[in-house]
Amino acid sequence: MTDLTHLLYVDDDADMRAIATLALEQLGGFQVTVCADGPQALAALPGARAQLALLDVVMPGMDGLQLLAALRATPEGAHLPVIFMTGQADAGDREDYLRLGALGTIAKPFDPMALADQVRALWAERRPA
Amino acid sequence: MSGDARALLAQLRDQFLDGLDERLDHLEQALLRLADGDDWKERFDAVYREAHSIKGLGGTHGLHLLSAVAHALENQLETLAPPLPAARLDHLLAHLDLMRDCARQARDGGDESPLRAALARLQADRPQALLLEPSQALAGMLTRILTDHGFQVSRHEDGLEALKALLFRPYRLLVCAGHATTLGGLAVIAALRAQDGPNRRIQALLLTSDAGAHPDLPRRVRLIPRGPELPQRVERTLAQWRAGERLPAG
Repeated sequence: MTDLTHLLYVDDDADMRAIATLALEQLGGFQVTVCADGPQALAALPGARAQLALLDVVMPGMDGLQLLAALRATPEGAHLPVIFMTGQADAGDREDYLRLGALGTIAKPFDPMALADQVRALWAERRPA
Repeated sequence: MSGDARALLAQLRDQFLDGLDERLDHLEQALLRLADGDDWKERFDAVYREAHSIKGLGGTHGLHLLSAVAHALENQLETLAPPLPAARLDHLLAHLDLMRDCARQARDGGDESPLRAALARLQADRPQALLLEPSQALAGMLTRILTDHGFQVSRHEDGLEALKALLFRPYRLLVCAGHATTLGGLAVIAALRAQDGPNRRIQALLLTSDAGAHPDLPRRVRLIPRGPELPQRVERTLAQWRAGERLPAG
């Protein structure tokens, strides 16, 4: 059983990155590789030791769904569990994300005090009992 | 650790609020440039992302009213298409003014209820139209026309579902297909006229390919033949009705 310690977090919004980093590192105790866009995430991935990626969906250029496809084409990202963070998803979108192989969705706006727990809960669901 | 994080989060919230007026000024300029009509997609995407960002950050910082106004703006933006009518631009800009008020209230404190009422007024400012149309392509086109005329559009594919909505909530306009699932447009109109509900006298457009089959239309119903000229006819009718003040300005 592997504990979740290393995350990759991708969001184009600098303010949101600051809040999420604070929530995940200081409150959650994770080590987080933070990226501002898809290309940066793909470049950072080989050295990130990420066990899980948190991807914003609405991003200019490469959006979260395109980034997932690009991650799947890399050796480090081929089986990397992914959680989408989005303020737009309805039930149909969330099902689509699951079909694409996402572990789940965290709604934005999120509660910074609860974000790490949400991540851990989704991580726990994927692990065999 | 938790106390430090809370203090840092409070600091980030203050920074967000301090910078919000400037962000809203930029967003206002971006909306005005959007009305110029050039480079629509690029400019629209930038405006939408900024509204989306303010919604997300506002909510994350616990500024839920601000986030709700940004969400309302985001919803409005989702129905936009070029060219941007002046009436709609004013309505969009009113959302920014309300966000400024929300930021001020969050910084200085005070009663939030007048701002909530202002948001409700902003959302109610646009008259409601109900669209009963099974064809997705035509519904998209009609929604755009109605939206440009200032309406907030609710779409139904099923006549019975449309009737249920019409029996309980007031609408200013009904646009309905002659044929729809369970109930056609004319049956819906007849049912409304027979009830003592909020839409008993509603103005309606009946879209039908069988124009000859409706020689005796109920009052306040205009028949629009389905065909290539349907969008232009709807446009023209709405403009005529508006000019004759039979419909409210949007």
